[in-house]
Amino acid sequence: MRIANTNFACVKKLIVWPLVLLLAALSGVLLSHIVDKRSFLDRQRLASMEASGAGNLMTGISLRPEFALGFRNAMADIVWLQAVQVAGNMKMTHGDYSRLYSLLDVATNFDPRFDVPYLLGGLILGESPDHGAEALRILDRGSAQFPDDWQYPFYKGYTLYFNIGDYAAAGEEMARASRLPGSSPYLPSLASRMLAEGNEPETAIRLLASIIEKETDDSRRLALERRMREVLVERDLQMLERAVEAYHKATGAKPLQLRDLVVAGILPVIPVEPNGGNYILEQGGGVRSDQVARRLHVLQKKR
Amino acid sequence: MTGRIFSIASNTFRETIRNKILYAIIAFAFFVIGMTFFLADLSVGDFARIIADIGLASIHVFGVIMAIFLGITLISNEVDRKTIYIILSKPVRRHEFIFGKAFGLSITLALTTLAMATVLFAIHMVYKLGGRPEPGIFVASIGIYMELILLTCLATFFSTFTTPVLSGIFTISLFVLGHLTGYFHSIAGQSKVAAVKWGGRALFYLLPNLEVFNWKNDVAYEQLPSASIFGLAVGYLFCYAACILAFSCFLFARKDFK
Repeated sequence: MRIANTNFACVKKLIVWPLVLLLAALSGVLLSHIVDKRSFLDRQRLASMEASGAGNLMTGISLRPEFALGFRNAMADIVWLQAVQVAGNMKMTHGDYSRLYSLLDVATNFDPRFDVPYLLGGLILGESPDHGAEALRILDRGSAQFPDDWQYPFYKGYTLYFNIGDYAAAGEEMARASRLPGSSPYLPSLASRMLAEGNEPETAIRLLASIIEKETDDSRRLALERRMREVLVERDLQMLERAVEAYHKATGAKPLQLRDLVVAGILPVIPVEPNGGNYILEQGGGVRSDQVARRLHVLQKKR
Repeated sequence: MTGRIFSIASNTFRETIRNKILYAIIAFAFFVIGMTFFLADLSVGDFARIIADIGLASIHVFGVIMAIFLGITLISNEVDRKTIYIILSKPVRRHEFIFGKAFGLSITLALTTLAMATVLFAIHMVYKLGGRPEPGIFVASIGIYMELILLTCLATFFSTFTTPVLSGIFTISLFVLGHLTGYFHSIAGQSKVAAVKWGGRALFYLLPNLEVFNWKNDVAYEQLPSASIFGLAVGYLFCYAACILAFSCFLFARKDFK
């Protein structure tokens, strides 16, 4: 009897604890599935709200700030924190940028004196090739609110140069920024270089390097450094594509891999991809980076 | 007369300060104000502003909850416990009872608002990114407190003639409308219909304008209200609260407790 009891206890230990562990693991798996499913549903809901315009309720309230019942700043802060979460996404989609714009719009409607959303928001929106107009609109609103602040025309010039590709307008904005009190002494030369050299990647790199050097805000410097890496990639891609063309002219055939350009003596070395990735030769002779989804078209020469 | 009002006020203060639900609300308020310390970390730039704005909004919200919750039960509790018969059988006039009750609750609210503002001031001061001593927190809290006094008077007014639940609903409605009076004024200014024009203006002057005490949105920009704005707000509070309490006394004097 006693032996039977001991055996039963052993069996219980052998079954119960693994069962508990199994159930714990199962609950973890189920939870992760629920989280995945819900975040997918949330994304779908957000997309459908954006499409139907139902997400504009907050925009409507923000346009009549009396309806914030005295909590204008708190509402602006909450919306701004939401915007920071959206902008913090490492791989922002087109929908993320649209949502960021509407959040920045709402935050600045609630509290038009809140300067960070205009500057940082405008700068991050300008990273999207499709949201240059929105970035300029946010910066324009900031400029209207703070007409004596040189940073607004400065970042408008930056956005016009790197996002829109309107070098003349960019140069004019930089010149306007240089005339405002407190602006850096390097702005007039920046403006003239923008006007004179247009879409040269080397010019863009020199401009960005001087902007990054003078930038005091850490968050804005991060956004500028991201842009710098994009420009470096574009410069390298243009250089590699010219080398592929030169190889084709010299040998009558396309190279099979980028290394062939070095072997043929056209390039001394394949440049290092600044994001830690690789440059890849495509079948048609084009070159791309495995880290950058879209090329910086504003710095490409019109053919 | 002043002595009787003070003794009712001190009794009301003791009664409300012992209320356990008040402590629950304060504890939750401290928790939310404390959380702003971590919330600010989620922002980018202007971190201390998040602490000041969300902290002052918490003081406002929890202050309103306390004022309404305690205000609507000021009279009804005395009636339910039948202590009103004992009080009124003594040489205490009914208006003294109303003034004493409102005054007592105002002292409780002053203490709780001061406690919440002090916690927020300390958090704002010690915050690592841009934290500094911000006296504007206390100034904005005075504005919030003035709004709470007005809400206490309104809750007292409603509790003289209706049930606590309805008093609560009416006071919350007036809290919402009190922040929208500027909207009524702008509608009245834009409308070409005479009824809307005059109706909007009438609402603007009749309803309590709670935005005159709202200085919390200026703290982040270190713009404290000028002495004249502060003085006008005090004057407005005094006049409006006196009118409301006068109406409360009038209704309470006609109430039959037999």
